[in-house]
Amino acid sequence: MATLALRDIRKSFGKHEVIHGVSLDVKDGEFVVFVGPSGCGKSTMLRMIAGLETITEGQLLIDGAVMNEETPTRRGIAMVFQSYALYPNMTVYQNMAFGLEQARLPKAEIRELVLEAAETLKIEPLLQRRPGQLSGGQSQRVAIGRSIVRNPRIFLFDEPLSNLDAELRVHMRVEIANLHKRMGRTTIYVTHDQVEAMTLADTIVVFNEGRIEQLGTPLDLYNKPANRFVAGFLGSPRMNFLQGRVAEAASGPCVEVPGGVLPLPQPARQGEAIEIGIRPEHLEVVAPEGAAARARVQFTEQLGGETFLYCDVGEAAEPARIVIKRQGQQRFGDNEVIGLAIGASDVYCFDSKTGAALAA
Amino acid sequence: MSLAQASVTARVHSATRVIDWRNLPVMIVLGIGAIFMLLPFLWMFATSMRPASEAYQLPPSFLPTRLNFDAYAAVLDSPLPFLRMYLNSFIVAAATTIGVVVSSAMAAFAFSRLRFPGSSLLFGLLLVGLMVPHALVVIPLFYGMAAAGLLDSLWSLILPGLASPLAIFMMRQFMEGQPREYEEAAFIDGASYWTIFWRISLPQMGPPIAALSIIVFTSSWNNFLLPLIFVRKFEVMTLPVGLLGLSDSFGALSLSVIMAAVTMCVLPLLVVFLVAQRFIVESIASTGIKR
Repeated sequence: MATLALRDIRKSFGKHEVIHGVSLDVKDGEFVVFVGPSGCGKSTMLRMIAGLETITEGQLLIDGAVMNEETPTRRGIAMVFQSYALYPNMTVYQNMAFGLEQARLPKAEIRELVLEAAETLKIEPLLQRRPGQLSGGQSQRVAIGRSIVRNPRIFLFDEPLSNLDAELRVHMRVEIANLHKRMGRTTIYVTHDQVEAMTLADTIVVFNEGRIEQLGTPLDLYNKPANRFVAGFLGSPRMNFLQGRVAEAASGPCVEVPGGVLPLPQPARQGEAIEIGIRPEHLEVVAPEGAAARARVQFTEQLGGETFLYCDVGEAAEPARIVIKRQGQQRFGDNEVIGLAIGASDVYCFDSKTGAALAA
Repeated sequence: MSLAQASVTARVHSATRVIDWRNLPVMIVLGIGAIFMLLPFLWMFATSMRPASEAYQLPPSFLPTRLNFDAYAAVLDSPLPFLRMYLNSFIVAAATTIGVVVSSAMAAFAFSRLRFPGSSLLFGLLLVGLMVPHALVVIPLFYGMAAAGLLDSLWSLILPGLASPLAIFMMRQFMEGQPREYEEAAFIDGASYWTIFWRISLPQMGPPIAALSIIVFTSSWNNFLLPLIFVRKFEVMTLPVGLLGLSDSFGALSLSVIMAAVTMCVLPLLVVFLVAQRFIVESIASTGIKR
């Protein structure tokens, strides 16, 4: 059992406040991913939970007990670092046994626990090696092994996959997900990779400039972003944003954007300036004749299973750039004019000043 | 091939790397420089091997014509307790080196890894110590040693050298350049500050410790001023001042005897350098953080 609660947590370095009152409840066994751009405060938040940074204001509660001043061991946390941080002067076995030695466990018990963890992670053949003799994936496994061997209440991961190549990253992502399923421990995972966030999380917490922008399940955040920042951060390629002005057509409310007119999911004040967001996969390519909106293909990326079209819309002098994602292999010529169609429910509306999503 | 084998092969490859002949001009310049550095040592060694009558011959010859150890025997038979002075020099240099390495490594850990009020101010004050000329503190030190009754003892030579601002500065700079994740991981593993220092930080300080050991051992071994002022008895004298006594008692005519003594003085420094140099290479090879 381990629940984690953050109550209006603030962090300042000198006079400069970097975390501006973060509150969050993490349920027992939940996999929470902190995501956000570089410098948004997600790693600082994780380090405060770990006990590596002091908490300037607010309360950190683990299982209901205030832990602001407690050591990492008392908090019952284990952490996997981005650089793995395996002690270079010790073997893999010694690395994994180090934490247990500090807890003054008997040697026989340490041995049993290390071997058990090594077996779980299939790293028994590496036990006598030193970190310098391990590959990236092996080091990552050992780093995870070092954290699970102590049987912590909460696992913390600080961008653990960012040093791995693409293929290994996918593989380790699946392993971490499986490990969480098997052990069922509360986990906080920091990443700037939205694919990792979407695939691993029970709950995603989107950070920006030291604040939580939104939190919820991956699909909730994807389908109902609270603002332009969250909408743009989740999804690859990212959401297209266009400035528009609300109009009225015979078919219902619509918005004039560069390149034509698009339907709106909800009525809005006529003439109001709004920003609309469209996910690349929601745009349909239709014949340009009679289409409500048109775009000019600038270049095409063929990925085999899918095709990305990079198009300009609006005046040729200052066009806006949009991306369209199509399934399968589709061919378009450079500068070819295409028609665009989209369902009204797939158009996201944002306040053009604050960026907040406009309620449907 | 296993990873361990691969890394051994890689090491052998880098050791037997094919010479890049495009670097030939650089190698020639460096080679000439190395020969110039070596010549005084060769002359010193050659002179110690020949009789006094041939010591001042012109042009000088840099290689001994025969192996004649008479001068070495003369040093050991001289009225001065040469072996005792040798031992004194060794005790002072070794104790100073160990003291400086331990004190500077611990201070560097504190300044670089621990957060405590006034640490920046304290470090600044330490740096001020670098600006005080060495000669300026000799007289206060002399009075201090006299008051403590330590004059004419090896303590008067060891104690002043035990902590060095320069060494602390050097070690701290090294630690600042090292990733903190090792110490943080150990902290999360529940290790005390002492355990983190002793088992995690110190083993990583191999390169600066090796470099520092060479610097401190050499400067302590060669220290002339402090033994000259603090020590008057031959039994507690170190080699630099002892050599002066040797040259006084044998006179300038016995250059080969003096050169034999100097050759013996230089040997430990050579050994220290060779041992520490190997250690530097090993320490750099065993880095663990992936960047």
